[in-house]
Amino acid sequence: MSGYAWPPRSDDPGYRTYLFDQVAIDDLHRLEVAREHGAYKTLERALAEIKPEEITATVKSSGLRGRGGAGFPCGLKWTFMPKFDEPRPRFLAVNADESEPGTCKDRVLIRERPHLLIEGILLTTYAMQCRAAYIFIRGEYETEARVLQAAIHEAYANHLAGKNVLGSDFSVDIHLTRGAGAYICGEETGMMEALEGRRGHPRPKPPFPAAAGLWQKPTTVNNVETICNVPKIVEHGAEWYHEMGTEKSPGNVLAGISGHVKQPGVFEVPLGITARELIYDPKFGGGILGDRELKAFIPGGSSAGFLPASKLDVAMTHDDLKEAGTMLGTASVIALDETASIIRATRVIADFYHDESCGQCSQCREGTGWLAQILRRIEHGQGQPDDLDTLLDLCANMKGKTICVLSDAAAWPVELALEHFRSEFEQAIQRARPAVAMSSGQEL
Amino acid sequence: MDTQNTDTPNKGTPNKGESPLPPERVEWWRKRVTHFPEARAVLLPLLHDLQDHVGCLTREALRWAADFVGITPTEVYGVATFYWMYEYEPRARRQIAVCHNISCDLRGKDQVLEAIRDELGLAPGQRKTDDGEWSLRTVECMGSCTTAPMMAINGEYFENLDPAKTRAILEEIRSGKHELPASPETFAPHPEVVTTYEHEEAKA
Repeated sequence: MSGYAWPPRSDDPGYRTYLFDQVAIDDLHRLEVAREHGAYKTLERALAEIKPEEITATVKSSGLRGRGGAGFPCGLKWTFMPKFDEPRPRFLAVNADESEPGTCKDRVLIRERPHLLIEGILLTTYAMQCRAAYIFIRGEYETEARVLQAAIHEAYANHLAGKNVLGSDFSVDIHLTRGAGAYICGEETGMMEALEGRRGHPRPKPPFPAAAGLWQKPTTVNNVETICNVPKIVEHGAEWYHEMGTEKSPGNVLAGISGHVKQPGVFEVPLGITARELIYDPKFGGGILGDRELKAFIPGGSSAGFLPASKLDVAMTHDDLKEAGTMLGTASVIALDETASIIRATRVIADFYHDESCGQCSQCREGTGWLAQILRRIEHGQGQPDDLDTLLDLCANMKGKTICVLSDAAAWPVELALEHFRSEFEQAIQRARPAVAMSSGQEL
Repeated sequence: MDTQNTDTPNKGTPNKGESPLPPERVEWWRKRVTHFPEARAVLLPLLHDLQDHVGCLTREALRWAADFVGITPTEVYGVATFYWMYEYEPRARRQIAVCHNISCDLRGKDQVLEAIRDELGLAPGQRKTDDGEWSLRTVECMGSCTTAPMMAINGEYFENLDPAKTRAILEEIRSGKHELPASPETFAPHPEVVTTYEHEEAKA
């Protein structure tokens, strides 16, 4: 059976999969079972036959782009690390702090295929000659942390990690650190601060992590899904990888589909698929609940903002979605049907960014709160005539002015909502009634 | 950059107060800090462990953690309060967290909250049952978007909820039919790390 979905489905997807292909196999998180299905074979071959720089070259020419949201070319990122004769120890930091609303793909990979992740970590650290890999997993993923820690333990016990991996000259340690709940730790420098035992305050860049990352040592940060692509690319080569997806966004991606669809789930799909297919195809989302009309959708996690149904046929690639004024992000599609309130949905997202702003930069610390406050009063029928102008003015002042992009990410959904659904906001403001007592904050 | 105690990396400093953790856990953490260039790198997991053993992060626990990793209690407090999962008042035996972010909101988290409140006798805005057994709060996205709506109780996820399912889960927990898991940090096996950062530094 060729798996492509979580929860597993028996349909034939009609295309090649390599991340979820084994996802329906029982106990695949156990080393013994994973090995029966080919785990660590690529590592074994790589350590014996392939030079580290050849792995980097293969990943670079595969065109693999980061799956954590920014879509930066992975192999290119690796080449930013200092040359091998630089004496400082260097690190890989693995971003398992998946927190973008709508996104729950890394969670499935960690829980179902931890050994694919570990093999990817080993190949990645080998390629860059890292001394250690530090995995940062969000604190809420307790089950996943338990599974991954057990898998790391198995790897150590079987000479797949630690000194002389599989009897080779290559040694590397893999450490798992649990976070404690903060979205901003998904930002790569915020994550490094958290790994060092600090508040997750993003660092100003430069210096970039490859020059001064964890403990000021050269560090590369990669997302879980990105790393899970590596063993397959090394196994089959860059050309094989280019057979999937599009020219500039090759490969498959794990797309989560949530919201008002009949069959929510995480699906492995080739990049370039459309949101229409993801939402309506019986293999994926299966259509809108109650066969209602789609009103809006978010293509790539909450930061990507709302698009109207007229944009359903935009190809899900980094460049096409950018052209449409949004982004691929984490390829997490959220569908809103005709009954949904865009005002409420925008406010829910604004509340989120307000809650998660780390507070370093005033534009973000204050701006996120003001966005949420204004949206809340519009939602509660107390909008004021100039509120929409104020919102856009705020957004303009929040973008491109802060240490990290959380501030921008808070502004985008508000701007897109007003671009595509402005009349809904205007009507709500026209219907506004005199102020009455209203809850000022979040529910609890 | 950290300005405090940069001359005492890697070793948990001798603790002044009595340890809130059992001796074997203290040993575990003493070994763990050798896996990092700085002892404070264990801070987040250490605070989880302390919270699980003590029940919440008391002043004494925070002070002990500060001593252990060699930074000031103020600094530890500053770090801890950045993260929502740490608490400073004794926690309820069963803590419910309901996601109120976009995907859960669209799929009916309001009905789930209503069912929980009704089942436990909580008024809107009330965070703890009168007997102190249960607490309820809403939280930001827990990564359960395609299985929304969801709640987590003591860290265990319950997904694809509707009011009836929510009530049934609470009843199973209340009657002892469903046992909630122990915290992962406490039982995580210790990886046999053979080349620690310390050794690397010695070579450099």
